[in-house]
Amino acid sequence: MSSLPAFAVVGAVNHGKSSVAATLAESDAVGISNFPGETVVCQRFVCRGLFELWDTPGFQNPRDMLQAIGPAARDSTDPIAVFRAFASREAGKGDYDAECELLRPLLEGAAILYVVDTSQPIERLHEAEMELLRLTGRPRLAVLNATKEPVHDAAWRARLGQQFGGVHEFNAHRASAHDRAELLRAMSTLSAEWKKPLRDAADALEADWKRQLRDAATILVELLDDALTHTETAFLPRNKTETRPAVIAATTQRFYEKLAGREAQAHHALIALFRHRLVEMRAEERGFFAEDLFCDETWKVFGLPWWALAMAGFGFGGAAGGAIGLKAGLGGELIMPSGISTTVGTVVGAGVGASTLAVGAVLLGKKIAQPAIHVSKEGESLGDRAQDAAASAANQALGIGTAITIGPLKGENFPYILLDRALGLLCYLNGRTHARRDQAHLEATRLKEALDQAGASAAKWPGDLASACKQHLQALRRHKSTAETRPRFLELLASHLAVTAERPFPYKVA
Amino acid sequence: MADSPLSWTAGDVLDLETLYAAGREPTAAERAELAASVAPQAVASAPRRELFQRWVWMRRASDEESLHGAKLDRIFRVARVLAWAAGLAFGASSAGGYLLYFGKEPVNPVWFFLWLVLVPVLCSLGVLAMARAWHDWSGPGAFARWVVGAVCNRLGGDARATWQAWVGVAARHRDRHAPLVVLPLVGLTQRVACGFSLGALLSLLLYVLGKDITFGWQSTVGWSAETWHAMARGIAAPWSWIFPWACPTLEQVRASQFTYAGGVAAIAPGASQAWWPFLAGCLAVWGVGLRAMVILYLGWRERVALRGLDFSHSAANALHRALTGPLIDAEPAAAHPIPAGTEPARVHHAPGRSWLLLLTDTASPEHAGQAVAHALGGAVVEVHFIAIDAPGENAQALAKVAASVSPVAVFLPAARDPILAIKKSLAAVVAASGSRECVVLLHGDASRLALWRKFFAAHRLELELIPVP
Repeated sequence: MSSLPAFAVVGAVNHGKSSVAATLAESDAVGISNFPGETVVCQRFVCRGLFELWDTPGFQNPRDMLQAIGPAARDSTDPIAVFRAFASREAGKGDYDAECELLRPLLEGAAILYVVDTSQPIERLHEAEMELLRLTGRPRLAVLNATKEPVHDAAWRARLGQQFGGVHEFNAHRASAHDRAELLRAMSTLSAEWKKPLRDAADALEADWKRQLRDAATILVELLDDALTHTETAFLPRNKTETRPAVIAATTQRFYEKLAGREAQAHHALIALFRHRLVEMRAEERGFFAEDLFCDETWKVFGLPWWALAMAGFGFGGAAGGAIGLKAGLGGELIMPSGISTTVGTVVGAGVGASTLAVGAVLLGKKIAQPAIHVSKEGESLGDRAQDAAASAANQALGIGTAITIGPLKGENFPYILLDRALGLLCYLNGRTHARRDQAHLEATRLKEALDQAGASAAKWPGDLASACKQHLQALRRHKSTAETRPRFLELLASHLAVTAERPFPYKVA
Repeated sequence: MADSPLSWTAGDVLDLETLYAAGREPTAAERAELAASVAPQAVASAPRRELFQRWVWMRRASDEESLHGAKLDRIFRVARVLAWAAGLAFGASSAGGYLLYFGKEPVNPVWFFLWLVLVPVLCSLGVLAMARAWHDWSGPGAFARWVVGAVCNRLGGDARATWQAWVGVAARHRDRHAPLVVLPLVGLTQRVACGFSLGALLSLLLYVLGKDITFGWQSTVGWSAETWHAMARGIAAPWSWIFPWACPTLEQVRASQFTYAGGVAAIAPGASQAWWPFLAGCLAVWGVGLRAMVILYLGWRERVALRGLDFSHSAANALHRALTGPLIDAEPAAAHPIPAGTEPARVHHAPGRSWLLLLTDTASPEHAGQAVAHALGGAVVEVHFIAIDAPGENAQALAKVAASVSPVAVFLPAARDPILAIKKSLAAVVAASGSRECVVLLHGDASRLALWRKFFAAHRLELELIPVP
């Protein structure tokens, strides 16, 4: 064992030792079973060089063990040597395998966290356990694991008070980050030497939780950033206008799918952030956002907007003009002093060619590439019709057409609903400890309802946060810089989450 | 591995983005190696940029096929060398072509300055202005995207999908990484320009060393020698106070005017030779020096951009968590599921028989008697207490069982947790009862019946388990 402060979580079977360890470690990989006795080997948890925690098998035969070594341990000046001798004598024989395994960390210097379920009465085997633990002489803290109705709480407290250095209540199924830190602080009282590392660990745990909420806020803000600016574009060749409804339908479908996918991605990121492997979101048939769509059409030549067209014209014109100029210079067709003709020819040719084609591309390109859906004007002139015919011919040949853009969603409520669904998930995840082993299939709509019931929805946000959110949304929608609005919104949201996430969350898994 | 993990390169950024996009997470071995390389127990407090870069290097070493950052860095290095070389070659040949002198006309220093110094400097300023105007790189970026997209959209499905995914990633991270694209590209143009001026300068110096070149200015519009001299003084201001001979005097300017009537012979040799130091100064200061400063500035901006990389977005947060691991890290636990066994078949118990009842610590005999009558249809003739969770304390009760001829019923509360001690007690009861019937009446919470059945089956307890209220 290392030189770190070490604690062995011990107790009777099925009193929640592994649940306490899983909640402290925020790991649902810890083996927790309703079937007693499946933990037969100690599992070690290490807290970044600050302390160690050992989850141990439950006592299987404490009364006989007490009978076997109790008198010797009581009379010995070195009781731990009696336990050591017992462990080496009985290991692997089958009668006391669990006891030998749970003694392992104790024999190496670990302190004791004795976990009891206060819904269960005190039996004689519990008294034997407590006596055995007392005889080890190790520092001891009792942990009342009140996951069920604590009907025997008073009796346990009275008995534990006599035998243990402290009694601390800890609900492994509901413990918040603050509760976990408090347990670590209670553990720090067992030894003056261990006080600092344990208190550092408690502070680190609270800091980590705040960082977790900040990371969650980042996920929410990025979801908003993407969802509010998301568009889907399809190119409709002018000579295939009959396919327009089909193209729009397919693009719209793709738009919804991507938006739903982005929301699901954010939900998965939140679940991964809180390290819950047994929680998942149910897929929805149709996103709540499948309304309120904004569709835009813009003209393009080969899918090229006007400014790109200008640049292309500039480039091609420059190259062509430069080449002509170079040729003229090399051929000595320009009257220049020695050596000048080549340079001048190239530069002048490139400049003239670039400028001409850039201007021409913008003016004529836009003219040629009119939107595919063309409504004839009253009294259209012969020239207009000729121009239209020419444009059609060009479209046929070159594939000129229209870009159909679906989105972004403009609904006022859209971002808030999106936020509330993610916030609901966040509150659920924060309130669920890793001791729980039920598979949760959550529904975003019900999460939002639960959030409303808890009074934690975005509509109930404090003024400064609501205002920061609104400013950020406006900046997003107006395509303005979010360099100022985003950090402020993120900061306020992260602070607010620390308050909201602590509230009881009334979501019941279906 | 380089010694300075804080100096990121564009290739590192590319690889990190690729790893983000692929959803790669560090392996346990990588985490351990990282912890060892940073400092023991300091992984969580180590700067993100340091952790990320070390991980990128680790991944690069093992995943060369999908990570192209090192190649990108190499390409940039080669491109810089090529830019210098191309600039040098172009500048040397341009100046060389310009300085070709056949004796009919002198080399005009004004044209030399205009085409080899002023125009390239204006081009440089134009490029810088464009780079500044397109700071977010939306214009050129979108244009480049269109060009490549036009090609990629004609490719097959997979290539097209890959391209579109890449475009999505690039668009999302545009704000974050635009300077890393713009600055190196602008830097390349300035290297070409600087190389151009350097090549022109070397070419000029070689020519004046090995050839007799006459410099002379000419003008149709009748600008006076004073005007040209004033302009030359203004241009040469940065160096003329140290090297006054590198700027022609008014007399030299006057004496170096070329007219077709006078011919080249009219130009005084001393006045003609006064121009080349001036032109060399122009190329050195306005060509090479100015670009060198721009290159240094761009390099500094690039380093600032790389130093200022923002690792606070959600993908970076997730990677940081994956790299640092949880605050309390669980070592893998060995799973030891209790093996399933077979439950003994139910036996028909003839009614009206007399039973020996073994009571556990907390049960009442009356309640147990009713249960026997209800479940077995018999009566209790003997009652003994048994410490069900202390097999070592039951010698007396077991002796009574062995001495009796009645079938045995053990009255066990379902609320108790099944442990090895109970198994041993029950096994001892079975052994003591010999070939007589032996059952366990499980009273209390019926929902725990399955748990007890599993326990009995797993431990091969040949006892019938009967639930009773």
